[in-house]
Amino acid sequence: MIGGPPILITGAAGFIGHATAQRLLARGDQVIGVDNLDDHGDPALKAARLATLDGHAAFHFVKADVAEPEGMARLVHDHDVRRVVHLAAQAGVRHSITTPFACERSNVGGHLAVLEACRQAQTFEHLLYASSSAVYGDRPLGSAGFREDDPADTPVSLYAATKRAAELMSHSYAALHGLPQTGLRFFTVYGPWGRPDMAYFHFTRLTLAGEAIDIYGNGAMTRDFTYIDDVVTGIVGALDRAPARGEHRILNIGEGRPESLMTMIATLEAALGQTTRKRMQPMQPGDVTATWADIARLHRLTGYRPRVGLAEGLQRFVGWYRDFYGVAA
Amino acid sequence: MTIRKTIFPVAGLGTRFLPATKAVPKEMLPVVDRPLIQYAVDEALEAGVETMIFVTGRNKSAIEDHFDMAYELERIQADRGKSLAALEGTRLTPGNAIFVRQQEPRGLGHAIWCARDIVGDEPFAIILPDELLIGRQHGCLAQMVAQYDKVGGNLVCALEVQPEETHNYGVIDPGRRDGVLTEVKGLVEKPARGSAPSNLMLPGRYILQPEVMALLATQEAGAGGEVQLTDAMARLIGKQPFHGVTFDGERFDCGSKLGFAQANFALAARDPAMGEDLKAWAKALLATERVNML
Ligand SMILES: NC(=O)c1ccc[n+]([C@@H]2O[C@H](COP(=O)([O-])OP(=O)(O)OC[C@H]3O[C@@H](n4cnc5c(N)ncnc54)[C@H](O)[C@@H]3O)[C@@H](O)[C@H]2O)c1
Repeated sequence: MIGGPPILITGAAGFIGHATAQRLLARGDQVIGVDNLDDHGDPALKAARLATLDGHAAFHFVKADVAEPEGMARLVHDHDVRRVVHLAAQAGVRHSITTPFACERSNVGGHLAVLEACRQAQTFEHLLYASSSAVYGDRPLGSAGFREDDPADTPVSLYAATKRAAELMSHSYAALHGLPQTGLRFFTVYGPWGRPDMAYFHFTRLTLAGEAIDIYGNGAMTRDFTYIDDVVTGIVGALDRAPARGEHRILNIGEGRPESLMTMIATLEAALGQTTRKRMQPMQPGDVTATWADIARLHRLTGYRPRVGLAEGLQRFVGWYRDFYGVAA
Repeated sequence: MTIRKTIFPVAGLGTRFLPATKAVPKEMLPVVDRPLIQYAVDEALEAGVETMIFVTGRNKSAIEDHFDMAYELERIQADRGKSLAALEGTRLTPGNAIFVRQQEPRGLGHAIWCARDIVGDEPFAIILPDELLIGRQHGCLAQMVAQYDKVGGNLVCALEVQPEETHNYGVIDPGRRDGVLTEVKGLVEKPARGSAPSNLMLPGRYILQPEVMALLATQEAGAGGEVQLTDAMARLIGKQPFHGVTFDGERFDCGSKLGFAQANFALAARDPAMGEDLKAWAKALLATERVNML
């Protein structure tokens, strides 16, 4: 096989999975994409993301549910998969509140099925999986970024709890079976082909439609926004540096810079060339006040340095949005 | 003496609901599936009242028709084998619905006075149909009649409101309280903020002794150039027993569009046939779309 054994990406029709697949394909890797294409999120957007990958001879899509252990084990076995980028999940706090069992199934059951599939593989090199800044819980911004060793045992949403549970399960699989793993804690990833349920995307749609936006937490929230290309660079960098057997490392991946929600909105409005009415709302249940990544570990491992700041990133997002949805400037 | 007669003052023009009330009396506007006036009449029937006295004005003939036999409709429904259950309670016993006109709009006191000869020398009740009162167990007038049987005299319905709202209403100056009964020492119309003697407002239900008619006859026009019922009642205080009966239930001010919309929603949401659907729909309508912040 050209490019060696394929890399399996779960959640390949999703925002980060799609971008990761594109990057790996571009550099000559074989990629097997898995996704159940569930109707959470935006099915049309998932189909459109997949359509950009379909032309690639080195891309192979399998519609499957990661929470089906046999299916996952067979996939890994049949294709001699040695590296897995596991991104499939019910992403986001909101769904985890409204559909808790589905969230648990994909995020915990799915994670376990992937762990099992990887453990059973003849030769296995590296499982890289998605965790989240949500595991840090609701803590004040403070004066320094959140570090991987900081406590992460007070989740305020089921989503965060499932992500943390997955980390702990991974830890046990490294200890028990020596499975080499990397857990990446993503910090609010944004950019072209992003998720419509995310605030920046949602606000863009409403602003262009001339509708008011609801600003939760009365705007007093802070996020470490990370541009998708930087995230993919971090994923690929970490993927290529497989941990030793028995090693399970957890790494933050952020821009390393907290921005207030209001700054994000002002920056977005500048990129849109248009403002809109804002309604202040209290915090939504499950949301955290602040996130801020300390990215020193990932930097030491891969030389990771975020390249795209918020203004540039939102500019690119808006460009893509106008193009994709046919909204003239 | 039992309360056999109730006066429904329905002569108002209902201008707040124009254009709906251009050709239809505002008392005929439906809350869910019953016109407002029927809630009032049902309340009186539940309290044991026999004679319904409607003080009407021009343009109010739909009210008369509503409590009459609907010959054509009943015939057609019967021929089609359809149930007449929905019309139940709309036909009053012949002779028990009496209509008298208030020729000029000279206030509530004047409207009541227009019914003096029909009321005669006996105590009577008044229901203002704009005030839709939904009792928790029994209707408002039935709650009042139960107290009347104990204390007699004059009774007004008393509704507890938030202290910061009292400046909008007529309020009771309270004396001794005993359960739901409050002795009325005086009535204060729209007290200045912070000066209300109580938070008991008068939501338009009264049981009065016939002497009030004589007072109304000699009553000078009061606020707004109208003959005020409150002024005449105030003159009875001290001469006859006078109590407020705290109402156990909900009030909808159907004289305002907001109250009217609230009444429709609240009662429809309780309707066994559609309540759940309506609530689910309203929840979806009102849910602000939430977003993911991570
Ligand atoms: N985007 C962010 O800001 C962010 C932040 C923190 C963590 N994450 C994590 O990164 C990963 C990817 O996130 P994303 O933003 O690309 O989300 P996404 O929703 O765009 O992608 C997830 C994909 O997984 C698929 N999926 C869900 N359940 C599945 C199942 N049981 N079987 C197979 N496929 C399934 C979905 O169809 C979807 O295409 C997720 O694990 C998410 O929790 C994302």
